[in-house]
Amino acid sequence: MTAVIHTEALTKAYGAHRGIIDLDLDVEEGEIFGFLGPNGAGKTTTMRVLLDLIRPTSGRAEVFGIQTTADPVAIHRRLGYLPGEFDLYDRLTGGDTIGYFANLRGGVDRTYAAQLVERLGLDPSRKFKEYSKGNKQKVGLVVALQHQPDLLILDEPTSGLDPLVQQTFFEVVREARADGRTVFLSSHVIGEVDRTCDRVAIIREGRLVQVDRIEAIRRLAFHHVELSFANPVAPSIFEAIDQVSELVADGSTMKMRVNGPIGAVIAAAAPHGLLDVVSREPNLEDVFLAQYGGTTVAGVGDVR
Amino acid sequence: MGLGSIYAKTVRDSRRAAIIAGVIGGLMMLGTAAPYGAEFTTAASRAQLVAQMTSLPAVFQGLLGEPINIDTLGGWISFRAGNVLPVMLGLWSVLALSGTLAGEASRGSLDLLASTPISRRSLALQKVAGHVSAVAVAVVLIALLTALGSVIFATLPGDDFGIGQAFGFATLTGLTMLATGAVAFAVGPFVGRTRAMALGLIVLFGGYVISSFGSLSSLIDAFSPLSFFEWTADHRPLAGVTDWPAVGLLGAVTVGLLAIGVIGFERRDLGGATSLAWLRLPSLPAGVRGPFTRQLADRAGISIAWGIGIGVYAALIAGSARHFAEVIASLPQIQAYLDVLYPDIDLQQPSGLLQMAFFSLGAVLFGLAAATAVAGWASDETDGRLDLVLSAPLSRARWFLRSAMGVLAAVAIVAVLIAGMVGAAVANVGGEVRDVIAGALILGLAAGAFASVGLAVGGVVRSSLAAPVTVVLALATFTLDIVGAALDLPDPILQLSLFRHLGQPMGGAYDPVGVVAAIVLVVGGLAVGAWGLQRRDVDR
Repeated sequence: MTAVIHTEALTKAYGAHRGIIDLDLDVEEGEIFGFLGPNGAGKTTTMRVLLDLIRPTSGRAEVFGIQTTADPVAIHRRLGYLPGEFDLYDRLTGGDTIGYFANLRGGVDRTYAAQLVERLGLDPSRKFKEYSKGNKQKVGLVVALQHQPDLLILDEPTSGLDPLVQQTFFEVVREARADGRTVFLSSHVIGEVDRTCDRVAIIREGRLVQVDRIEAIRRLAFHHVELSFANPVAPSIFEAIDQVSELVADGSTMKMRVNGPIGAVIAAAAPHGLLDVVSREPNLEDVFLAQYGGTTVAGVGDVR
Repeated sequence: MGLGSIYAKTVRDSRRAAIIAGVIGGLMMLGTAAPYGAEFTTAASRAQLVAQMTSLPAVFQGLLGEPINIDTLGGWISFRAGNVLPVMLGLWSVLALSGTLAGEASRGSLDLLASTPISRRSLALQKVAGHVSAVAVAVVLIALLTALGSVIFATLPGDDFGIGQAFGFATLTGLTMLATGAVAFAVGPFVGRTRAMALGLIVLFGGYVISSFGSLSSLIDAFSPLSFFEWTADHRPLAGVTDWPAVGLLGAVTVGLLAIGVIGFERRDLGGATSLAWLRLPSLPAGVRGPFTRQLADRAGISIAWGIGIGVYAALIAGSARHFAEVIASLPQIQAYLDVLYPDIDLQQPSGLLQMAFFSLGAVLFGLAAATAVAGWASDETDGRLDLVLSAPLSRARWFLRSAMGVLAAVAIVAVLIAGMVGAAVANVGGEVRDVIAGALILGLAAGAFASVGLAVGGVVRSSLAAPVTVVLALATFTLDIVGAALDLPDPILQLSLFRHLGQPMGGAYDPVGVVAAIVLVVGGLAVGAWGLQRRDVDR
């Protein structure tokens, strides 16, 4: 596969303030790539560097094999971008605004743009200043999507959208992938990212802390393991295992959190009359929260 | 600092504007006092001046203000600057008071403020009090610099005036500023920010024009009771004449207007839609073909308004030209004095009168009009539109050049409107139309040069600096022209004023050096700005 986005030791500093630090990232052609991190982690900074709106302090970034600072116009010709925060022209209607950006790009299929407007439920006849936050977001989405770009860079694309429109949006994103196009998005709707993205990266305090396929992240993260025995067993059997934490003994049941593979736990339990094993695989939200020291919530896909 | 209350934050946000207004106002007073101190150094010369000035017909008196005790320094500077100063500084009050609440609403911060345990009444009152305090700071600075003028330039007995008189003068200036701002504040909750600002400016400039040109026609004179300038025309503390009841009336009306604004804000929906949607500036079609048309369409409305406003002012001056010429021909000493102030101008021609009475103030207003267009341009970046626009396959330099050309086209609209109106007015009274049209277009070129320098700074450093740089250039050039010589500034500094190199274009005397310099600034500003934007990060 070809890397549509490629960064090497990409760093952006805002004077004394941190932006992003030594970011190495590859986004492959035809995948939906989720970019997760809390507010201020550096997601927007990364995206703005990719668009050459801001320049790297050091390192390099390439999009479509072109260095972002070398020929940004060639890159822009093939991408669609939705900023996390934006404003547009108060006096223009939504339709005028969409038309203006179509004119700036040229060659936009107006029929497709009209279909997007309809699917997202946007009334294009109203002035931009009269729109609600969600409807402004819809205008931004149509502007980013209408020219069917090879690469979509979307910063919090579902912000302000109601759940139904969010669903429609992710449908459109999946259609883009089906057409072989690439999507690089940040979102706080982790459930949707979990269901939609092929790979995710997690960024914390400007540094990339994890990049992988979602299943792999789940697998490699941790499991909540519940062991049932014929008789109560001593917790000390498991306390000696490095990967085990949050150990709770409840009669003949032992609950624990296991980081990484659970083989050592099973091996330790087997000689003590092990009757049953329940391993709850974490969902993306569990992983995300664990990365930031938040409270882990119950996982969804229980695996027996 | 200054974040303990809404009042404190308002004062904090206004501190720079207050100091700039105070210093510019004070320098204008010094600049007016200086040539008088130099030219009229004997009692005889002043007696002759008084005799001739008081013999002037109403039209001439109106043009320069009513001559009260102009045989003293205080009387003279009241005569020359008493009406002009509140017009210039009143702009600040109108802009500030029309936007102090509406600005918070458009930023989305008003809902948050109103959700704190502070009543809407208190919120509005603190905002108003903050602006009044800022104006008070400006008043103090004007008073101190005016009093300094007495110390430096008084030459005859009676020229000295005390700090109390200076404060009396500055207080009226501040009150007139506040009164026009209060009009905008009072109507703001009902008609919205833009219309409130427009109404405030109409009251400000309309009041000045009525006061200055009421004698031209009974139609204009019929509006005299509406002009704040007319109400307080007899209050000239620097000349030893006061009319405190009139000042008190103006103060009472100002308080009443502010109270209407506070009550209106208290009772109406926050950021509610205006019921006067039909009342709006003329505008061009949407302009969606590209950055040039987009920029031009968004700036055209306000440019048309500026063009009409300044054009009416210039046309009124041109309309009084023949009458003025007859009078001036019969007053040799006044003629001699004006010759000193405005050499090489034929005051027998409407074009000469326009050069004398319109060019300087017109240039400042033109500069402010250009700054308005530049501010709109800058909002593309400061409001976050530029991120989306530059994600299109459009280089930054191309966007800069095209959008900046849109700004310059908006400035050209102002110039063409002024040229057309003043040309028609001069043609009506019988004068050299070509010169005044050329003069208006050269003024437009100078404003374009200021705008282009502002755009260049916006491109190289950051957009939010572009409009302030344009304003400062226009005001600094004007101030340098009127006070530079009086303060004996070195010639190389005086030569920095672009206006010094433009000749007397409305009077028919052209100086190609200034025109070329202005063109170089326009072209160079565009090139530097485009280069700068290519190099820097885009702000958000």
